Amino acid sequence: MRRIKKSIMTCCCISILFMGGCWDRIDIEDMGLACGVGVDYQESSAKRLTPEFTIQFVVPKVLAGENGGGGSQAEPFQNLTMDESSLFEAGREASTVTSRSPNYAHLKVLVISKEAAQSINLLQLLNFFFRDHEIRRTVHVLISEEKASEILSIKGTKDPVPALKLLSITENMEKKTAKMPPILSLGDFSEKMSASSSFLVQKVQKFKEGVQIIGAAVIKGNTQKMIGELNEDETFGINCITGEAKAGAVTGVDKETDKIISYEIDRLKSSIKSKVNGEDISYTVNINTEGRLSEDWIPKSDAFNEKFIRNAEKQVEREFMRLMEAGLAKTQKELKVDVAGFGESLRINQPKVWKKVKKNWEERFPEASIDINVKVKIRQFQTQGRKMNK
Amino acid sequence: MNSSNEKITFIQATVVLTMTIIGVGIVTLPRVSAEEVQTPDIWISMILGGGISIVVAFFITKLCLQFKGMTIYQFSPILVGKWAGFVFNLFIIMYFILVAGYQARSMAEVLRAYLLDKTPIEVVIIVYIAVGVYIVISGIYSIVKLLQIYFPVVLVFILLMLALSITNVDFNNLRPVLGGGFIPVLKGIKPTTLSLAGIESYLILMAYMHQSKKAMKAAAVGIFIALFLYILIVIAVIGALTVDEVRLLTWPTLELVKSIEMKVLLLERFESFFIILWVITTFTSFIMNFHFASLGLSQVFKKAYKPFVYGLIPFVYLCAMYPEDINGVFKLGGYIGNMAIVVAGIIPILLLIIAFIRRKRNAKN
Repeated sequence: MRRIKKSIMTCCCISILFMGGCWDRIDIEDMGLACGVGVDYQESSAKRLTPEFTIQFVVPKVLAGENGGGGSQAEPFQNLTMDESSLFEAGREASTVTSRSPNYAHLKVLVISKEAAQSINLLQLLNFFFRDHEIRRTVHVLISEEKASEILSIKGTKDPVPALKLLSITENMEKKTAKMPPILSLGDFSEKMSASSSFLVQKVQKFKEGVQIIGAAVIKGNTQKMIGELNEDETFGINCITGEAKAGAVTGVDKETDKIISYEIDRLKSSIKSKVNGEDISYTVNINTEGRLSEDWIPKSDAFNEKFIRNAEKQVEREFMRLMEAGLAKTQKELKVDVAGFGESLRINQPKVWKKVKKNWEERFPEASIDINVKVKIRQFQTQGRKMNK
Repeated sequence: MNSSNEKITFIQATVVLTMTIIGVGIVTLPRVSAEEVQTPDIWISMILGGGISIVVAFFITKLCLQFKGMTIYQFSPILVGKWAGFVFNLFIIMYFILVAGYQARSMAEVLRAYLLDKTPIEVVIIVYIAVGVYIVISGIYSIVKLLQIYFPVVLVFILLMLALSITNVDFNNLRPVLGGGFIPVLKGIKPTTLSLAGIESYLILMAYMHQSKKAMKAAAVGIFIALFLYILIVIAVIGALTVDEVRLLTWPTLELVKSIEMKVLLLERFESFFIILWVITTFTSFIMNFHFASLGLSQVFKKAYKPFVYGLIPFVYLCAMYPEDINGVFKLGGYIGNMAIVVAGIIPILLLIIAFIRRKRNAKN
């Protein structure tokens, strides 16, 4: 009996040696979960441009204790700003000041300041993010008007962690508004860059006490730098051309009464058709949208009357045209970039022509003529059709 | 071992071939072929590659049918003489050892890159080989049964991965079809055909098959399943990441898996599941190749099987550790591809021609 006991004991003791766990275990309490990072441009005397790297950690303890009376004034997040010649090194240097080294596996948002995006080649600047195995391709990228570290320290009242708040706002594009370009993930960023095509990035700026994501930053594919920005109208126009404006409001003005009519997009479809005639490349863009009448200020409006609806559609169409023309004027004529997928349409439908013009596409693109046709269909006018009885 | 009266059935033969083919290719194929083709038409190259594989399978089964119940190790000396046969066999054995080492190393590299950052790669490989030996030592029938168990798991995991990534796929990235003409497609045939290497296993496997006459059919079905899964993977990866992007990534398929994010299903970090799939798929190819190498040695030297399994451990380990870095691993993959052309293509066709001439001569006499 004793012998058996002894042998069991020995077995247990020996097995402890082998059951220490794997080399790579990190206890979850010891992880510094980075949920947002910001990149700024540091003006310094050094020979090289030095980026400034801000890491935002969540502090789960404070988040969990939120409903515990609110006695402590501790923030649920912690920002760390480092400046080093490479972002990776800056991330490592963070380990000299925080007990929990950053882990990027749950990174959600990357904010790049406008200054940095304009002065540093983004392909170089973001290499660390593309390369690191912890960072996912789904991280949302934003460009900020102010310094990224500043944007990341503005905390929301409903969402106490700034990075997570930004994340939720970016997602509104799909359901509520088209005044910002579609979400651009780190993966999309890399895909666009690898094809050296130009694209739009959501832009964040300070708004009163909080932040606002509105308009777009334009990144030029050839130079891999930010070269300009679109305001909300231009962004909306481009979103319509690409067919990404799946939701959002358009407010037209009635010609007769000079009062506003608001239309809400339910569905929007766009098709870009290319036509090649010798050296000339021309496009026809057809937009078909269905939606609802959400608001009008015309005193004698009568949605039960088909004529009124048709007229409203006309006015909204006019507004659509204005937005898209504004978007095209800015991107095609002024900034001379193709962010609405015109080159993509050529690549798919006319691969032979595309092969020829691919190299200097953005020099050719401003000369292309673009026709736009819009068809608005008001499907419903909701609960009240008339303001006053006649 | 030959004393066992067990035989491999038709379904088992199919499963074994599929599982031998599907291996490292699931993560490397998209980049390697995108590098060559540079247009989204890789799937067309895949289909052509599948056609070539089936032709090769035809030759191999034709050859083996002439020597029923014998592996290539046994019949090549009969066919081309003792010494030439010995050289052929040694070359084939070397090929199998290299493939086994390559599978082990690739598996460990991916594991290191995505999961076990600090664990020494040597440890991962040693553990992997140890588990492999455990199954290889018990012979072909146990291996086949293990593959039969794994097969549905692999199938479900691959299909699940593809289903989850479907929202990321933009079919515009796969267009235009044949936009660059047919030449890029032809360029892609070599890497895609090589990704389907594994048919050489029939050189040995057919000796143990119950109905070796149906071998051609089993081979065709096996190749077809593997081809189908590979084409789906390529379409998903190219559709989600674009050709230009795929060429930049070390492990494109893993990047696709990493971009899966399903808020509805509360599913993130699907790559942890993918790693399971990855280890299983490489493991099945690994044990098959390991087994073929040790069986080859035992039949060439006409000695017992088990000592050769143990004896091969250091060689497989050395092959696995030979590449210095990740580029070395890819290079080794390239060499193995070229060797596969010899083992699966040139040697069987050569032997078949010799067998044909001999039979003619015998008929005359």
